[in-house]
Amino acid sequence: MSPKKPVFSRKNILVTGGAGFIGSHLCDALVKEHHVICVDNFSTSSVANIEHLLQNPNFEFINHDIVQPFDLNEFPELDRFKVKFQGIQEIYHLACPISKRHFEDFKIATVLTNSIGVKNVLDVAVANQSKILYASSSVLYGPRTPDRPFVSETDPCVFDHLTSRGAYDEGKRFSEAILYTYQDVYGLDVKISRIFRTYGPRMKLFDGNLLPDMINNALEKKDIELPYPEDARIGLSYVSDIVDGLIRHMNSPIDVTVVNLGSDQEFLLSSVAAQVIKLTESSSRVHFEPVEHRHGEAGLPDINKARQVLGWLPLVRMEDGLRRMIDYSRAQRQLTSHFGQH
Amino acid sequence: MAETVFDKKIVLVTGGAGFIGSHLCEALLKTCRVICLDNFSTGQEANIDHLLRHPEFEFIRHDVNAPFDPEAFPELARFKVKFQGIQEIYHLACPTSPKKFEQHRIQTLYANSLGMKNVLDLAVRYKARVVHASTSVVYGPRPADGHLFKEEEQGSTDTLGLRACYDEGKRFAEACCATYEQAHDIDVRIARIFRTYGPRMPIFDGHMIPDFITNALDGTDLEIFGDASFKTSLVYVTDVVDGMIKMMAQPEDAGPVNIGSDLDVPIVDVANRIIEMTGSSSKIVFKDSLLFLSQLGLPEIAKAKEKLGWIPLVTLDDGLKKAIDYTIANKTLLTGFRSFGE
Repeated sequence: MSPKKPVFSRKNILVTGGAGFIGSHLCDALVKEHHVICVDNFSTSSVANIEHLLQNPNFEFINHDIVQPFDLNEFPELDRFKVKFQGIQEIYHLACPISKRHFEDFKIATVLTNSIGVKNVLDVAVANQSKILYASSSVLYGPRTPDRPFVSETDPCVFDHLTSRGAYDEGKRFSEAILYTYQDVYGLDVKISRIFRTYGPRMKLFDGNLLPDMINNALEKKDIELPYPEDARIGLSYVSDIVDGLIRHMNSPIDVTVVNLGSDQEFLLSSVAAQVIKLTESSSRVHFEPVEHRHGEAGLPDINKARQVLGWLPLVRMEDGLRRMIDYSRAQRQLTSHFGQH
Repeated sequence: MAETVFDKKIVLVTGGAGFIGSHLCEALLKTCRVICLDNFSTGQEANIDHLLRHPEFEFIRHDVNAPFDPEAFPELARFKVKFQGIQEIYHLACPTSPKKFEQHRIQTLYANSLGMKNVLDLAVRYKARVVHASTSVVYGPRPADGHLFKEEEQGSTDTLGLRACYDEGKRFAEACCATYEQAHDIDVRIARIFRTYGPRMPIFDGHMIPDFITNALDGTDLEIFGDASFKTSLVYVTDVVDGMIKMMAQPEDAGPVNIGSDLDVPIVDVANRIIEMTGSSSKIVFKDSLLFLSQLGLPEIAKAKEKLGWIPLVTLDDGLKKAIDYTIANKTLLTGFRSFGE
């Protein structure tokens, strides 16, 4: 292995999936102090999420599908970050197609991203001796069971890997296995953040995501239809809290491998909807129309490890988070009013 | 199937020079043309030596992790693959070695992702039916309550352990099969193979039984990796081959099927039986257990009986006798590998 590269002024940080919902917020936070190289292919993300960063001298965007191998030395636009000399200090690997509504269309891309994609990113990490943080997911634990409302990092992961969701769920598990193996074989500093349900601005509309569609309907004064029973509860954490957790995790000691990041508090879905209606001063009504969910909801995270080891806990109150999301949705609606006919 | 089948089917066997793969090639040659792919990472040239002159057999030395274009190999021209295509693929390639597991870990990850993808891409290209050789490890370790694994069992493996590249990799490979089947309308069948023994099992590699035989014949100690409580299920290799061929022949895919023995045998009894059958004066000694040689669970085999009309037929005594005869016949050749093996 080559010795660690010197850092000139700012760290060089690679964010894969940096144009996605969480990725773009992460880029926003990192670019204040570092050089950020954002890699994305917009398969399920949007250029609108990073448009405001494109003029930032400390930000560089590379349109690339990580399923294809890549060598950051080959991009002349990265010369100004002195990548050839300074290398890459940290990699946040978030890239993975995610679309509730168009999941089928991205199945093959999803299995490939969760195997070859992870390998390609790890090969960059090995070449640069970068620390690498992988955005894993709560799906890994399998659905919630009555005897296990909270899941901790050491709990077993139990689910059927041959369902139509296997490309994603099993893919995430295999990704973790690849990371762990590389850590062991190549001595990489590997972090795995298992992220639970997150909300905030830039979440995709009309893609089967609960909150953005709820807010959109409230703003349009349309009825809000929730495919859950009336007493359904959800855990939600605001995106800036998650970003803060990811950065803390990246900067934690080498032996902190797996950490849950999410909120361990649950809200009645009906009260979340009521709050959205109140904050948007909407006249929408809420209908609960339970459908059989083939895949149960994830449990809530046990976040003692994040608290103790990272000094992290979710801070943003639901009302504040919803308010920011509503402000964003209002602004977006004005920008893209011609899409409003969905 | 899309292509016209001429006089004989063309069948591809990946990992065809391995322990199970070579027996499979032999059985298939009775009715088919066989393309055997192997890179000898843990397979042996000696396993297929006797097949190399068979007119219906062609060996290609190739790493399954690299894309494979059968039409680019002049030696396959006589099989007219371009016109006849490939009708069936048995995918067995994956490094396995209890003793040298660690040095194959990265290759193991690749075989279960890149290799699997390359095989599935071939299946899509030729509309070939696939039997994927999966394993009992997808169910996780032997359960404490001793229940038999049914195919529906969701299983739980550790994503973050030394074995993850294999255990989790095999689960991911199955998930790839399911995903490709859903996305590309191909027919991929999953055989979950339990612990298998017989001639050509690698020697001095921690598999115990072949070493027991060699040691008994040499009059040296038989080493058990574990203690007297070590039990395992054992199925003879030709039974497994028969199960896989029956699985390929079924008109409908029955989903994953366990292929193995549901009899739990103390390994000490096997060792004693070998000493008896060889008339040896060897003793049994107990050594530290190997991480990659665990007891494994036992299969429920009702589904194999019902759907494939398959049950294990070869008794342990008959199987051991064949393995002993093979070892005696090939002793010089086999022990010549000692220097490579260690």
